[in-house]
Amino acid sequence: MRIDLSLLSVHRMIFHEIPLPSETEQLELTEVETQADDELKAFVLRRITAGLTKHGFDIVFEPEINRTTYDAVKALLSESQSQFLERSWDLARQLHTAQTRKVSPGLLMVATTMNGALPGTAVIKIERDEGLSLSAALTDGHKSFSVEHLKNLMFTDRTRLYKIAYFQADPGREGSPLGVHADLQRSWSTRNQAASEFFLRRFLGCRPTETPAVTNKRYFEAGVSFINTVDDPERRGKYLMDFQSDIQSNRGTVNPNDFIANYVDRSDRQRFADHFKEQDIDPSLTFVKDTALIKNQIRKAKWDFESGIVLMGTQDAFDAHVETESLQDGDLRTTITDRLKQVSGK
Amino acid sequence: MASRATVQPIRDEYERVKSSYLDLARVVVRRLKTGLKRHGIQADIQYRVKDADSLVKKIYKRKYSALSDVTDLAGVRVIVKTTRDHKNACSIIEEMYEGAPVQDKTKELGDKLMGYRGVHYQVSPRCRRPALSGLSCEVQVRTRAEHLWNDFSHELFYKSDLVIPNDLRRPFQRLVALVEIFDSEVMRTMDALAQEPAGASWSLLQQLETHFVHLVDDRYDRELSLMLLDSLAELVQVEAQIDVSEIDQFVTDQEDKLKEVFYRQGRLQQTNPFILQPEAILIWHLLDTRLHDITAVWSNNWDLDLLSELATIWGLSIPGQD
Repeated sequence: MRIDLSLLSVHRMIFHEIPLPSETEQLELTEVETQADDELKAFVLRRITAGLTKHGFDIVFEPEINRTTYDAVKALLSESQSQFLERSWDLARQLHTAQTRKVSPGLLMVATTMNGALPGTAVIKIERDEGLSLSAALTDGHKSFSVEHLKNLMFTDRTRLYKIAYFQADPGREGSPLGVHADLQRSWSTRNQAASEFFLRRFLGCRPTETPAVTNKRYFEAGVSFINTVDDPERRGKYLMDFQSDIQSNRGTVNPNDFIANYVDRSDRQRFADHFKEQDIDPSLTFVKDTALIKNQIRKAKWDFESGIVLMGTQDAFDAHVETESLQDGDLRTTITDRLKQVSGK
Repeated sequence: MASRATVQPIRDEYERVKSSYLDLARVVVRRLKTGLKRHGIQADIQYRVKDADSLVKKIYKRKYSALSDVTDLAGVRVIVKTTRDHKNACSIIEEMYEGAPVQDKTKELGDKLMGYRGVHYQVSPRCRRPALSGLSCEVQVRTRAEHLWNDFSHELFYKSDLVIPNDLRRPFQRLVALVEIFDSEVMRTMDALAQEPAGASWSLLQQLETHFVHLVDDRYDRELSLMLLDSLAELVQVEAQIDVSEIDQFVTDQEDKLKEVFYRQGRLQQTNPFILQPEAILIWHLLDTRLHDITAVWSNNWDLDLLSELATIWGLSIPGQD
């Protein structure tokens, strides 16, 4: 379920510096919340909504894994915010404890929000970024630029160095808050798996609402069912290859609309997106990549023969359509039972 | 016959209640703005209370014997763009003030004479304040062309005691006819344009403007609206023509959210020119229903970051953008 963030507003915020665990550097908690003007609140709001809207996926708490974050978030959602400072300390300590030396240090931002009439909390880990600041200058009467190297940037337009979790009360229901999480670093690479897992599991104590492997299977099957309706065999073959390649790529998350925009012809895009909706898959929602349940459908097998003939297909296709018989002279009789779609290059 | 002895007490009485008439006019303006806005009618609404010196002059001219004889102590003028808006505005006022006496100048003129064609209502809104109870306000409804003529002719002809000579009556009537023709041709042209394929953008904008006026209390740039709608031509014209009822349904379903989003955005400094424009309604509807189509067409003419920002404001994201 997508949380509609169009009416989100940011109210209070506080930042804590979170070093990596070490014997020499201790966690020093901020003692006063940030006095944020409307412009700063608007800026933070844009970052939160843009990140969550594009990369967010639904999460739920597993209090048995980590009670501290769960209790702090519940308190921030239900109290009159008189404990805002103290709850932010709880979260800062929890993040500091959860971090290992495999992740980067950074800052923790805790913000209270309202989404329409619903109170919410944003918990964001931000890493520092670098950049250059240029200003026109005159050097000996000649035009030049004065350049400053900035090492304390964060939350810039192009940065991916942040992870956001947003929680809000579930209207009409007591119990676990609704949550959505975006990890912009994870979206780009499965190599950041360790850093992503620490934030989601060890710090937040959450997991994706729907089991990723199940979501991936539904997505894959829906995608293939649409591709099989495409009349043009060349286009159909290209889509299938791109679809399988995309789901096997190094990206840590999947967004159906992104796949459609990047690989599908203009004339098929909207129909493809509508097909996902008909299969109960919101094409705008991002989910974690997990191909455990579709390995056989996407893994490619390739048989090279001495004659130069090459057989290629998914393992499932081989299992279903290819029979082999070993011959006495060492040759392999290979029988393919299938419908011929196309012959080219004759 | 009016005399200083009879006029002075009336004037004194008026001076005592003048502030109440001012408050009454403001109440009527506020309610009319809400009522017309709800139906998407754009109108310029002006109000005034009669100046005490003007009251004295009117008493002498019309031979009034009591303050209650004067019906336009508080006056509100509703100026609309077209005869269609005029008709709709009158319907709304008649619904709001059921049973209010009405003076239709067109009916008074009949078919043969030409002249001022405004409609005047005498409204007595229900108010909690005792001081306003029983007071009435004149509401005039005119088109812009009628208003221009009325202002001009009032200045030139009615403030003077001169009787118009016969040889000037004909030019006078031609001027009046010009006003009627202007209004009539405006409506005819608008209706014809709506039927043209190239007029699809214009026709759609009319619909969007009606909703925008209802949702937002702000001005917008019409030229920019038409530029954007023309750039989305393949989505709004001919075979792919957007059904206007889709827009109506979208606004009905999302009214609260649209009002809140427009309100919030209206309080921010904007660098995106489309956020506080009627076409934002269409863009959000297309982002909801035809995301890939609008994304593909948009980038031919406009920076995709603008569409991305509009999407984020609505709680969505553009595919392929990070």
